Amino acid sequence: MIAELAQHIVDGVVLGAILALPALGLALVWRIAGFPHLAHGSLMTIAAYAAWLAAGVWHLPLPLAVLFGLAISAATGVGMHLGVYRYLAGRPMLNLFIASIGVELFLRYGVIFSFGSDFQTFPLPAERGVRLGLVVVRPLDLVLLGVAFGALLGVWWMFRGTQIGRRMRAVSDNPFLARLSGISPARIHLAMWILVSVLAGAAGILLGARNVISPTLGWDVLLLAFAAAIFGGISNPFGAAVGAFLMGLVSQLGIMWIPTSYEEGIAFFLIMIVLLVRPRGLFGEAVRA
Amino acid sequence: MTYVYTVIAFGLIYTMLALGLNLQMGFTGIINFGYVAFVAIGAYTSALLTVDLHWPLLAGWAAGAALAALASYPLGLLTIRLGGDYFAVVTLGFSELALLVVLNERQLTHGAIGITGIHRPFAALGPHLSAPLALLTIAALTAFTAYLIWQIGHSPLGRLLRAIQANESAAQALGKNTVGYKVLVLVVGSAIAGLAGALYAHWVQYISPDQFSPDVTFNTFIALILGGVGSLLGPVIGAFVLIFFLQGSIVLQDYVHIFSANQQSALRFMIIGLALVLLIVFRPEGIMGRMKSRRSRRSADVS
Amino acid sequence: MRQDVTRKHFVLGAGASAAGIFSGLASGLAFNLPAFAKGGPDIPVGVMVPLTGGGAPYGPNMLKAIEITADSINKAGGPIGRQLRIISEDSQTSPDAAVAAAQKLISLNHVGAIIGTWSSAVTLAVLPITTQAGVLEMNTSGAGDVTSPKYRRLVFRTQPTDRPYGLAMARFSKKQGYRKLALLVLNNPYALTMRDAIQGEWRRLGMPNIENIVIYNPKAASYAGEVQKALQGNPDLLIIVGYTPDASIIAKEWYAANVKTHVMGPGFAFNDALVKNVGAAVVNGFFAVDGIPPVTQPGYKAFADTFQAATGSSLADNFWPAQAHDQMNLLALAMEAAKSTDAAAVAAKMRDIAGPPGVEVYDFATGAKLLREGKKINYQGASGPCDFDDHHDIVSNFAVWRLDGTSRQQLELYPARELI
Repeated sequence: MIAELAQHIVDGVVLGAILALPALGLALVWRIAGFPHLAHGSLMTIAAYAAWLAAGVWHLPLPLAVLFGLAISAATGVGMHLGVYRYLAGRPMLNLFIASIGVELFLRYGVIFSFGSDFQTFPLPAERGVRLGLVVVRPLDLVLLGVAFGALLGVWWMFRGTQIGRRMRAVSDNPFLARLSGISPARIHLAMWILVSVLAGAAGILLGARNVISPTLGWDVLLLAFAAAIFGGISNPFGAAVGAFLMGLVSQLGIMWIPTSYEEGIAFFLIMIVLLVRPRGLFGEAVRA
Repeated sequence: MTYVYTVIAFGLIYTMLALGLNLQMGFTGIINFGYVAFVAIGAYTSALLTVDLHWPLLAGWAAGAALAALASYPLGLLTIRLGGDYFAVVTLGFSELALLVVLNERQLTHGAIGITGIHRPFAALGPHLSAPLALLTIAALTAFTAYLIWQIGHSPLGRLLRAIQANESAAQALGKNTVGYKVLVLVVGSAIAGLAGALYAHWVQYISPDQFSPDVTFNTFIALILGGVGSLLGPVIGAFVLIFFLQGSIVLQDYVHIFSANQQSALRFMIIGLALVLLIVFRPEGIMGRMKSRRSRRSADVS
Repeated sequence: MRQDVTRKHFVLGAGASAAGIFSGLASGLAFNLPAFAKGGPDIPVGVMVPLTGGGAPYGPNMLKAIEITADSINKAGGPIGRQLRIISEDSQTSPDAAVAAAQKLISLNHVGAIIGTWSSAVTLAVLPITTQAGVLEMNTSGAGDVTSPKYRRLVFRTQPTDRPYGLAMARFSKKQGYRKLALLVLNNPYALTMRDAIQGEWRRLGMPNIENIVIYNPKAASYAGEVQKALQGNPDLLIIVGYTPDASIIAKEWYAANVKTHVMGPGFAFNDALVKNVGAAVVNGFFAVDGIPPVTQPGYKAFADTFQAATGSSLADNFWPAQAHDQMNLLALAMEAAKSTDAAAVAAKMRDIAGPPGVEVYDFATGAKLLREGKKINYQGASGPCDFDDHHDIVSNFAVWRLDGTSRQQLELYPARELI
C-alpha cells in the first residue's frame, strides 16, 4: 500500500513536471503580454518534430538534434510575436486570444501539411525503470524532472538576479512607467518570447521522447497546462509551476479511488473548487495594475 | 440537394450558436469557453428523451433548451463574480467535465458509442419532404432567435447589458443588480445553445461525444469574430462565411489537385487560421462590426 | 466616411466569396447532374477516409490503396466495361464532418457507394444517410451496431467484429495457464466492446473475476498511473486494447516497470510499427491476436509489392489499407456480377463473389473474366479471405502470434466457426 502510494506520488510529480514547463510559459506570457496564449502547444509540437527531423531523418547526434529543436521553437515563438502579437499590443485580451487560436490552427495544420498525421518516435532505446527505494523511476523522467526544476530555478534567478529579469518584471507591472525609466518593452517582449518558446520546446521534445510525437502533442496537454496555471495563479509564474505539480499529484493520487477515465476531470473539478474559494488561484497576486 | 440542405442547416445552427454567444460576449462581455457543454446538454437531452423515452420531438427540443438553461443557472450563480478570464477557465473546466460525464456514464448517455436512430422532424413524410421541411423549421427557429436577440439589443435591457460590459461598477453604482443580469444572460444564451444542440442532433440523426469537443466552442468564437462581435447581423454573416468556406473548399477539391488529399485537408485549416489572424490584425471588429475607435491601432507601438 | 468604405468593402468581399462558393456548388451540380442522370460512362465511387483527426495515421494509406486498386481495375476495363472514378473526402475522424461529406458525395457527386469509413462513430453517423439514399456502404468499423438489421441490407464490413478477438484472447489466456488478467482499455466503442467479449468469455470458461480493468482516455499526457493500476498485484497477463500510438506509450511504461507480467493485444495495434516505435527488446514475447493476415496467401501477395512501391511501407503493417483495397475489389466485382451499379443489385451479389463456392481470385481482372464466362468466383483479399456471413460481417480465422524481436511466430489457430 505504501509502495503503491509512493509510486502514484512519483507519477504525479512526473506529470507535474510535464505540465510545469508550458504552465510557466503560459503564465509568463499572461503576465508580460497579457493574454492566454492558445498557440503554446504548437511550440511544443514544432520543437518535437524539428528534433525528430534532425535525429531520425538527418541522423544528427542527439544533443545537436535537441538544440536544433529548441532553436526552431524559439524562432517560431519570435515569429509569432513579430508577425502577429506585436501588432496587437494594447488591444483587448480577447483579440490576442483569438489571434492565438488562428496561429495555433495555422501551425498545427502546418505540421500535418509538412509531416503528415502519422506519429513518429525518436531513435532512442527503450529504458528500464530504476528502483529507488520503494519506487521505480524511468531515467527519462529524472531528466524531465531535472529540466523542469532547472528551468524553474533559472527563471527565478533571472527574475531576481539579472537586469533583464528585473526589467521584465517592471514591464509586466507597469509598461508605461517602465518605458519612462528607459526600458525598451520591445526588447523585453522579444526576450520573453524566446524564453517561453525554449521552455515549451524542451517540454515538447521530452514529452515526444516519453510518449510519441504527433501533430497534436502540444495541443493535447495545453488545456491541462492552462488549468494548472490558473490553479496555481496565472499572474504568478512560480505559482503556475507549483500549480502544475499539485495538479499532477492530485490527479495521479485521485485515480487510486476514482475511475481513471475521469482522470482529467479531477484536475478540472479541482480548479473550479479552488477558484470559488480563491478567485485568483492558490498563489495568485491579489491586485494587478 | 441533401448536401446543400445540410450546408445551410449547419450554417443556421452555427448562426444560432453565434447569436447566443453574441448575447453573452458581444452584449455583456461574458467570455464563456464552455459553451459547447450547453450545446451537448441540449443535444443529449432531446436525443435521449425522444429515442429512449419516445417523447414527442417538440417536447424533446424544449427539454433540451430548458435543461441547458437550468444547468447554467447554478454555474452562473457560483462563478459569475469571478474575473472575466477566470470565469472563462471555469466554464472550460465545466465543459470538459460535462464531456467526461457524457463519455463515461454509459447507462445514461450510451457512452462513446453514441446515440443512433434520432428522428428528423417530419420523418414520417419520407426523406424528400422531411429534409426541406426540417430545414424550414430550423430556419424559422433561427430567425425567431435572431428577432429575440434584436429585440433585446434595442430594449432598455440591451442598453443596460452594454453598460455592464463597458463599466460594470458604474452600472452597479446606479443601483443595478449587475450580477443578476449577467446570470440571466448566461441562462438565456445557454438555452439558445441547448436548442441549437437539439436541432443539430435531430438533423444529423446521430450524436456521440466526439461531436462536442472544445472545437465547437472555438468555431463559434471564430464565426462570431468573423462576423463582428456585438453587431446584430454579424453572427449570421460569420457563421455562413465559415461554413461556406469549410464546405466550399471541400467541393473545390474535386476540381483542384495540387497537393495530396491529406495536405489539401490540412491546408483548409491553415487558411482559416491565417484568415483569423489577418482579420484580428486588420479588422478586429469583424465583417459587420462598427469601428469603435482607432485608439488600439495607435497603441501598437508599445512593443 | 472612410470607415464606411472599409466596411462596405468587407461586406462586399464576404458576399462575393460566399457567392463564389455558392456558384461553385451550383456549377458542380449543373456539371454533374446531366452526365450521371443519363448513366454516363464513369462510375463515381465515394471514398471517405480519415485524413485528419484521430484516424489520420491510417487514412492516407487507405486512400492510396483504393486509388491504386481502382487504377488497376480501370486498366482491366472496369466493371461492366465502365471506368471507376474515385471521389475522396476527408472524414476528419469526426461524425460531423462525415455527415456533410457523405451528403456531398451522394448529392453532388452521385456516388452509388461509399467505402473506407473508419471508426465506429463516423460509420454510425454516415449510415442513416446512406441507408436513406439507397447507397452501398463498406467500412472498417468493428462495433456491433454497424450491421444492425435497420442498416444491414446495404452495409458490409471488412473488419472482423470485436467479439472473435475477445473470444480468442480469453481462450488463449486460459490455455497458457494464466489466471490473473489485467485489461487496459481505450475509452472508445471498439475497445469497450472487445473488453466485454474478453470478460464474458473468461467468465464462461470458469476463470476468476478480472479485477484490474483500467479504462484510459486517448491522448493523455501520461499513462504511468493507468499502467501502475493495471499492474497492481502482479497479474499474469496484461491485455492492451487500443491503437498503435497509445499501445506504444503503454508498452514503454510496462517495460520500465520491470514486471513479470506478459502482454497481449489485437494485431492491428501490435504491428510492426509498434516494434519500430518501442524497439524489438520491449515487444519480445508480446502476444498479438488477429484475423489471419494472409501474408503467405496469394491474395496478400497480389497487392503487397504494389502497395510497398507506392507507399514505402509494408502491407503487413497496414491492416486497414489492405481492407480498403479489398473493399474496392469487392465492389467492382459485385458490380460486374450484378451487371449493374444499382446499390441493391450490387449488394445482393456481394456474398456470392466474396465467399465460397467458386474459383479463388485475387484481383479484379481475373475475377471479371471468369464472371463474364459465367463462372462462380470466390474473392480472396489482402486482408483475409473476405467471406461475409448473413449479417454482412466478415468471417475470419483467428490466430495468436508471439512477437520475437522483429519476427513473429504463430502459436495457435482458431477457425472462424469456433469463434461464434
